[in-house]
Amino acid sequence: MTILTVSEAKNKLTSLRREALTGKEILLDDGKRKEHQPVSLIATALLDDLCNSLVFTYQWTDEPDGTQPHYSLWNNETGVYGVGETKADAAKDFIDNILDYANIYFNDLPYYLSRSGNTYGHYWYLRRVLRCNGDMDSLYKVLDLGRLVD
Amino acid sequence: MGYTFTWDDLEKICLKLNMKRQGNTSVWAGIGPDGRLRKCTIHAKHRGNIGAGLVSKIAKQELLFDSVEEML
Repeated sequence: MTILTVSEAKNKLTSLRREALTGKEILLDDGKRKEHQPVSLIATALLDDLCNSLVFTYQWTDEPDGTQPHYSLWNNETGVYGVGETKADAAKDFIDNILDYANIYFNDLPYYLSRSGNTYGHYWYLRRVLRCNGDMDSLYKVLDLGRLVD
Repeated sequence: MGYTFTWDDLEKICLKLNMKRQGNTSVWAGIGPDGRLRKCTIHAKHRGNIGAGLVSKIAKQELLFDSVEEML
């Protein structure tokens, strides 16, 4: 793999971007701060393909009964849930909640990527959510919710 | 024996764990006295009890308790 320092890369960013588009991954090192991890310049489509293999799975943890009136939909990968009087309402609530969480997570990445809890592993799933750019049809597809509420 | 929790109860538990509501969203997060990062969704708009299955998931996987009883 090609490894370049930041100053080397700065001068040829256009050609490096072109190379990355062909599938090449370029590692950028910070020559001044050796303790920093390298950063990759890589085609977004390749990352999207990688993320597409991550599947969202669910459990209906509750249904209306004598003690409470709601359906609860639990996502195994992120620990985000949705609650509603119908399954469709719970799915909609789940979408609202995972969008909130994804935005909060990506606005404070050092915090949520810390290893002191269980949020580190949510990164790539939430990236899939954010890549939908709020489009509800894409979200239903990516989150695989259609089969749960039909 | 089964235990019941409301969303208000869950909010109080989160506050004890040093968690705070994140802006105007339903997401709560914080680092507890034990140094562990937790996050949780709280449905302020829903009244009544939280389903027992969801309580169990929240207790063990979000709030990192060993059991629901530990949340009491």
